[in-house]
Amino acid sequence: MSTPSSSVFSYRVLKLKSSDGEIFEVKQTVAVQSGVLKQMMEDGCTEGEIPLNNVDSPTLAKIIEWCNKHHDDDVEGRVLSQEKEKEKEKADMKRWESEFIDALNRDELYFLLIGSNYMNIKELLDCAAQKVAGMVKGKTPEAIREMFNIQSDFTEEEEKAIRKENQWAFN
Amino acid sequence: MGMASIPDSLIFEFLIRVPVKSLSRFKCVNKFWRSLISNPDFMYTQLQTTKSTLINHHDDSSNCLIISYLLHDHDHNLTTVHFYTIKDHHDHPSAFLEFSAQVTYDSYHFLPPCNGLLCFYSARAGIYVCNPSIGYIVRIPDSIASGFRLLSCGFGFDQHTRSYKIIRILEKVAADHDDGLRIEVLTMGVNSRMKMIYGGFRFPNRQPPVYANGFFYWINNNSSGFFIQSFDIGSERFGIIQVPENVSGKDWRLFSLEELGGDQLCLVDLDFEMEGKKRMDLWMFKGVSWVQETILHPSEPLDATRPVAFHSGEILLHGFIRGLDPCLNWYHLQTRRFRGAYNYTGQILSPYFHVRPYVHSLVSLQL
Repeated sequence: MSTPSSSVFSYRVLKLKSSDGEIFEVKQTVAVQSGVLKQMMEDGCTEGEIPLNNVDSPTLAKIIEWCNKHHDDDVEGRVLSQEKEKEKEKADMKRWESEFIDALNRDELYFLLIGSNYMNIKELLDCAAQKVAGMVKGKTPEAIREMFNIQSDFTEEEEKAIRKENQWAFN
Repeated sequence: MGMASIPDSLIFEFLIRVPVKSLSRFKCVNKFWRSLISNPDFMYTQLQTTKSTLINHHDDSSNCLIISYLLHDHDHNLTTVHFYTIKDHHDHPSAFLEFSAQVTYDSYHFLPPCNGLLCFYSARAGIYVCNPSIGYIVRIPDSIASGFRLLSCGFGFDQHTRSYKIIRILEKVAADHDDGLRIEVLTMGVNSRMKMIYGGFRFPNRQPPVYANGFFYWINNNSSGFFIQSFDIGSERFGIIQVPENVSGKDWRLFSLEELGGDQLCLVDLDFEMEGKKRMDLWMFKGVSWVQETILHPSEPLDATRPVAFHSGEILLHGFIRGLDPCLNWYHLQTRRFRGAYNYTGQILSPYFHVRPYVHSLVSLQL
């Protein structure tokens, strides 16, 4: 994405510190995909290490992998590709994204969802949320409770009534 | 193994991407899930997410049509309305009975769906609004005006206040001209109300107002020709859209307005005497101007069909075309080829059913 801030600081590097203390170096042009980091760059407060208290190192590594892949090189003067090539690139990217997401186990996916939300990386959040939606759809309420460690706080009667109201959805 | 407890805001993020049927089940998970799923803002965002996913993925198989039709039980004076959804999977077309409901014995006119809600009406039985996905149906209270009968109505959505509106056109029983019209606008949302609209209202072709992009539209005429009357659903103000220049001199009776899904307003020239009925001209409204498209058949007449949907450069035609098998056919505007769609060989399809593109939603009306 070409923004004024990214073109001014194209080659500068940010130091991101994960919750478990590992340091990751990321180009500003890559980091700009994170709404939070973009805001910090615009406010000029990216000196030194930037602590990301909600993101552990395996998750941050994944997030940076995603951002590197989605980093738009156009700002560095690459010739715009033809319409057809763009279509192909888009399809290739979609495939890469689904392989990336599908390779995660449930916990990794969960931490990625939290991390992308915390760092405000919309495309990654969309992609991870879509994956979780695919996992929960079609499941019973019992399976959902088990999956998210949720206890029902309905009385037996209340639950019966809601089930009756939505009976068609259980068939 | 389960996930650790997940922040509420993230539950919202993925639940808006879950289909309606699963969501209705998930109301049983716990109180928080139920209140989240029942929240109008959640329902609205869920619908918008579904719509944008459909647009961005260009996936034919996830696009669905809704078929509405009536069965009359003459012995018991009952009419049942059935709603089927069908999907155009290439190898496995599937039809699903969403909902059936008994209504007053009559014949009804169906309006195109709006946010998953379907409105249908008859002069005697009044106006119903139904969400087949969640089994919701409600009859809209009749007008309090006496001596009037329902002539037509339109059903639409006001994006800014997130409320639904019905424009109801009533006719004085004794009158035989437009002076006997009464127009009511019903708002259903946080501030439900009914408002009367006065003044210079004409409604010559008596077809229901078409809702698209925040406006109701219908065909109107005056001494200098015909035009399209618009009614801004938010500001409740009338406006005028000029029709394409090359048709403005024609008789308004030869035209109909359609909404082809995705808020696409379309003016259809039904002058089938052109080129031996093998040609149909359409004008797509692009906000300020009209774009003309033409459907041509090399040999067969098209006068028993109507456009019902527009998607990725193809127009879906509903109705009979000799030589083509099903009564739903896609016409590719560029290659000028027809292809049969939704191949159900007479199972549930008929030229008499009402067919439109459909998106499932959780929406119901706040009356």
